[in-house]
Amino acid sequence: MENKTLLEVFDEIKEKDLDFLPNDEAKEGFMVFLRFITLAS
Amino acid sequence: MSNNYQDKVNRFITTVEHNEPDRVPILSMFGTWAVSYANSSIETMEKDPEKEIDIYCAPHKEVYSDATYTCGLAFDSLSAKIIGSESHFTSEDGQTVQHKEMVPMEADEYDQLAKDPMGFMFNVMLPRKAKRLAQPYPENYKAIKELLEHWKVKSAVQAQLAQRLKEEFELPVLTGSFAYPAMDIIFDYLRGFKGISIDLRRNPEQLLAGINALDGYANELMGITPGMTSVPSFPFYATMMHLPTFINPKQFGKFFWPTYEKMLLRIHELGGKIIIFLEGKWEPKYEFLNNLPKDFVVGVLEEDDIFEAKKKIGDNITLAGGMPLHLLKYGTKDECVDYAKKLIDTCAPGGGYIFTSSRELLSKGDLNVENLIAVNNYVHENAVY
Repeated sequence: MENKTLLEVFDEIKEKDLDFLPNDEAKEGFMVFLRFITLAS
Repeated sequence: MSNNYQDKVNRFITTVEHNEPDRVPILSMFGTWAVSYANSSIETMEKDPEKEIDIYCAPHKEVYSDATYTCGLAFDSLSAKIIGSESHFTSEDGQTVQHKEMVPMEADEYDQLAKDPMGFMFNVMLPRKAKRLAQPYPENYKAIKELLEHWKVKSAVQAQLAQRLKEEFELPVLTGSFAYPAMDIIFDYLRGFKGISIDLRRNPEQLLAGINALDGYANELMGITPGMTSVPSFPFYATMMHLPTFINPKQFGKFFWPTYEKMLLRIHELGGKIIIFLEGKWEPKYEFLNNLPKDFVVGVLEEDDIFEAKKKIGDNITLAGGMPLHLLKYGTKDECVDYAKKLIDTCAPGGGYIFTSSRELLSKGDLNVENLIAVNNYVHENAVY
């Protein structure tokens, strides 16, 4: 299986796992937040 | 007197514009103190996330305020645990969360940070700090997915909490997005206290290049995109200042301020306002605050003399705070109310003042709650313009 960097993992999350959000803007905002929480944790 | 939600919002906006609202606004800064007040624990919230709503509503049943500065527990232990990091952990008391400094970056790595800040922070630094993120794909994906699921639930719970604060207590949440200074990102997440102190002396140009490289990321965190033409004047943006109290005005002016000032001016240009937690002592850096646009900033004072600050920066920025925690903890009710009266008499005329404690409340023993109830009731009932 190919390896993936964390930024590529975040891209995959954005692509596959954000269907609970209504639109692209909300998805983008949530990803900014998720990346920050990861960095801060 | 009216105490509905919008009246409370207006109280803050009016005073920040250095006009006199109907009464002096009171801000509650209940951090993890709410957990002990509710006689609960961090573990309880981890096991049953919806408990966060009851816990963070509990103090508002007894303690009057016009707004709360945040909504629920922002930095929890569980997020760190999920990704295999030790950056946050629950204290032995079970009711507070501590931050452990982690320093994943070496002094000779600034070139990498400057060249590719996002790739360096996320692909190189985070795996050093969080064990599960160092695992190969798909294990690293599973860790982030778990964090996502945790925050899906936590975000929904905090949205419910904000709604309940509004419906049950007519209480606005003062802060919206965070404005995170680029230099504090390096201080908090990459180099730590010792590292950045050495870098300021031995690698100043590399440090500056690293700060400048993070400018874009800091702006992204604010949620302000290039095409935006306006932002709401409420809730306010917020900054918790971490490094500034430890550096001198010359270092602050050269390293910290330029990128952060640009962020502030962008918020101002779009019509927003900001609350800045001026941690530590700020008097040596007042000139920076006085050079910002008028009626734009709320500064929460921690160790500064608020009566002096009123004279020196009070015409330009709104002051918040002044009610000493040690007095709320050890003083009598009468002593506390007398001090609150002095604060109102000195700081409130002309607007530009928000009544609150000198620090965020974190632990059970931070104060005597009866004193807090007494001063908030006194200000609410008597600090009328």
